[in-house]
Amino acid sequence: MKRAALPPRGPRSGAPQVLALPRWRLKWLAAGWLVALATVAARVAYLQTPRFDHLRELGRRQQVETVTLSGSRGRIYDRAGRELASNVIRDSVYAVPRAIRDPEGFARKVGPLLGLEPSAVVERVRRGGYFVWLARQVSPEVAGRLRQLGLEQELGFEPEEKRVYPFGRLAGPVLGFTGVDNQGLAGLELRYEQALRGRPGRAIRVRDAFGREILEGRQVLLQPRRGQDLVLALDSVVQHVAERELVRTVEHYRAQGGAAVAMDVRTGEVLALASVPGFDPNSVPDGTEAWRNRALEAYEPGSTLKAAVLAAALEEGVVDAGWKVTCPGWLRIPGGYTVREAHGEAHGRVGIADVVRLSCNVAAARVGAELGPARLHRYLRQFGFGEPTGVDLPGESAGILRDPSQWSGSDPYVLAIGQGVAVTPLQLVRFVAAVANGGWLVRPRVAVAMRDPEGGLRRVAADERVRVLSPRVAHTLLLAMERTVADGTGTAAAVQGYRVAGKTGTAQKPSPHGGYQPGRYVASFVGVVPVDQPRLAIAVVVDEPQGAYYGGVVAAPAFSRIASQALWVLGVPPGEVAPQAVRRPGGD
Amino acid sequence: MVGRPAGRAAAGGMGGSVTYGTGDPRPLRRRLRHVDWVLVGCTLALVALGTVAVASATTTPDRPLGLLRPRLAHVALGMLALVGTSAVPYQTLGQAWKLVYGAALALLALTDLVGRTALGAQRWLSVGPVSVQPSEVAKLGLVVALAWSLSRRQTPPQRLLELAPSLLLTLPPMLLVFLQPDLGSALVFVAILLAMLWAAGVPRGHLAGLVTVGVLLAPAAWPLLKPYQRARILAFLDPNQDPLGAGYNLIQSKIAIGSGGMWGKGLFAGTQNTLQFLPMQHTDFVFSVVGEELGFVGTVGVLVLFWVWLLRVLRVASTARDAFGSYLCVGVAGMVAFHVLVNVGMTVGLAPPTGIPLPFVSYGGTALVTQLAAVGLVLSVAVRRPKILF
Repeated sequence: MKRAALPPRGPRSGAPQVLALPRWRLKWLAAGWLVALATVAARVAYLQTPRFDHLRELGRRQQVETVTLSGSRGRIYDRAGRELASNVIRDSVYAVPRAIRDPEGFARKVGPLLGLEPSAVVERVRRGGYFVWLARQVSPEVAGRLRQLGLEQELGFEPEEKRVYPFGRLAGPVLGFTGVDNQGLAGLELRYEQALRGRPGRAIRVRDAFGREILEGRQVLLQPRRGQDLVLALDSVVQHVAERELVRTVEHYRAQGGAAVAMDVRTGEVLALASVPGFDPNSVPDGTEAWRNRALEAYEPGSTLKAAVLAAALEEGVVDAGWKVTCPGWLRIPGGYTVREAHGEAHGRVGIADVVRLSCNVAAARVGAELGPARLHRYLRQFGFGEPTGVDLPGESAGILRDPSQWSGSDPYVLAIGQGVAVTPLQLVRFVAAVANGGWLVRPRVAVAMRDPEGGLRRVAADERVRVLSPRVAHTLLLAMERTVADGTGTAAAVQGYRVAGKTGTAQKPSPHGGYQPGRYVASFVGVVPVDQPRLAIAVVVDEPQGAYYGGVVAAPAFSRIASQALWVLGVPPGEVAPQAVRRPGGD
Repeated sequence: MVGRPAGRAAAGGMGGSVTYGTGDPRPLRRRLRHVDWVLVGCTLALVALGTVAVASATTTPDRPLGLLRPRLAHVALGMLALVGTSAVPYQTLGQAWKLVYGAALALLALTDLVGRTALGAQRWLSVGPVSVQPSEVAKLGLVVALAWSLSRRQTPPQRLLELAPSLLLTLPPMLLVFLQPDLGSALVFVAILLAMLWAAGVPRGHLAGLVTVGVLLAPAAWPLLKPYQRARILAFLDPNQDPLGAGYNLIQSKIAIGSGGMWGKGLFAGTQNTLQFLPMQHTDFVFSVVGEELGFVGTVGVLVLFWVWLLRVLRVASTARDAFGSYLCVGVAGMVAFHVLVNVGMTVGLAPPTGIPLPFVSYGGTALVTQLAAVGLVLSVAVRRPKILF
């Protein structure tokens, strides 16, 4: 019944019914739409069931991201609890390029406040996306002025921790510094990165289509854990004294630089470790040259090494208290070389004490030759030369101590006067500490304890020490070294009211092309105080002083000033105690 | 066999029993009995769902109700229009078709000349604070004009030439809308025309020919398209080519619908929606919001509501008192069906994005008022039916 008009309805309707449209066509219309709607419905079903996981994941990926929450970085304290490294909260500023309509206008407003060239800002904004850093950890003033620009959509602020060093330059090379993400890059900050950093947390962050974080959506999966605080052996006052005296010396002699180390002879705790020129870790200069820590760098020590050679000879019985040798002022050695005294003078008959007291080259060279390459090398090695001390600072040099198989005939003579070998100031201090503490080689320590966020304190590492000298030899040597200060080359190292032992060193700087550089010296003094009850071993090394260059002239006065003030700070009482009272920690 | 007193039907109250005339002395109670309550129910359900979806799509922290207030105003205005058009005898409208059609054309022409531009097209006409979209009104105007024109015929147009009046009525509004430019709405006029011609009994061959010619001519229109329109069509063919540009909307819409899963994420809880990844989520992509927040249940529910709605309108068409009423219903159904298919098809990647809203559901005042007025028109036909006994 195509297109047939319906017959009039029953009498009840009473109306002339006219159906104009062919019904089958309406039915087909309905059927057609049903098919079309069903197709669309099938497509929807396909998206919402089999594709569900995939599409949900796609959505999640663009809306949700996992972010790392860094735990507050551990502080660094000196031994008296003074804060050497701390944190402040600063705003870091980012731009939302997607929200920026007019990059040039944006850059003109924001650039000057951040100290950025507008063109640099435009370039970053043009990279597009949702997020680009403009400046990290800006000052509160800058952040405040940026907030007043009314660029809520375009600018974002993220509070971040910024590392600060309240004492500025103090101990800069020891503390090191952190990068913009608060990661340790040098010094203790690098060495104890793991402990200081703490455990990062994780959070889920929800962001909208413009990259803005929806704060209600933040969900912390793992709370960050604060880093551990570091407690140092360093004493800020002693450190300050060491730095001040070193700077004064370096400036006075217009030297290239210098290093000073003060160590507790009993424990190896480093009370001060100075390197000049240093830097302020709050604003680290570019270039690694400025980051050097000269206390950990090797140099050719010269005469200071004679003490070690003498210790070996005493230990081996090569020399004894009655040993004497004649010094004519020079000594011909294998290879056609000649060892001369510094002033060319003849010392005449010299005993063991004179080797250190007068710094007699001829006697020292002959002792070295007596020991021979194998024993000399073995002892120097045993005293900690030629390998890192294991101090808890990065970048420590091992020094240079060649294997005896590479030695020439002249090397036992030459090494005995501190040439053809390189040591670090820290190695020297450690050796002298062993002489002072009765023969124990300790491991130098800058940090002594870590404190976890709950306040629990634990030692960084157990004391490590190795006996390298018999107490008798150590004592003999210590008394010999006392002569240096009493009436030898190092009288300027004397400290009023205390007995001081030490050894001067004046070394010509070797040339990288062989031989030595005329007029370029390293002046040094390494000593112990007080002799009767040793507490401190201190080394002072000055690189290329001008005008004067003897260790006894350049370095010894600095030693004296550092020692006297450090003793006062540490409360070490002056006084003449019987020489037999040398303390032997741990006993033997 | 044909015997079709179209003239009489058109004459409305003049013919037949007085009781069915335009004067309509039938008591209100009886008329209300003829109201298609299923149709009304479907319409109200869609409007309500749309209102919730619009609120969800436009809520922001500083505006928790979003565009709920204007939306409710649109609904109120629309309901007035619905009641108004259903109360007025539709035959009156037929007699005044020239006025209706002419006014629609004039508005469109005015829009093309002085209209407000938004999103790259000149679609709105502003009168004070109110903006109207004349293309929506024009769709209804064309339905009325075509229905009148077709119902004047005694026989279905058999010869091609007999299609001329219908084509001539369709072309002006279509071209004016196309020039705005609004490709999608221009196609709605074609859909209305085809549905009505089909219902009128135009031979299938003619219609097939018409469609073929149209499809063949389509490439010729390619150079006339604006660059963004071409980009949209290309993006439809391969959305991943430009995932942050032209293809972005489609990708985000698919993610929204797909991530809704079976039961959805809950009202106001769609993340694609609230985090503003979905573009135009309260207008063109409101279906994606429904899909994300109400899931498969919601999307299929909407589609079933539309299917029932279309069936009921066709039922009114098949039981209308006269051909004019039937044509009106078919035209309205064709308009809504095309809107639904193209809009939903767009959100799931089956149709190119053309900016056609989802009837009753999408935010948009002119569209909603027009569509509810169209429902009123259908109801007006329904209540003036002879008593139906199915």
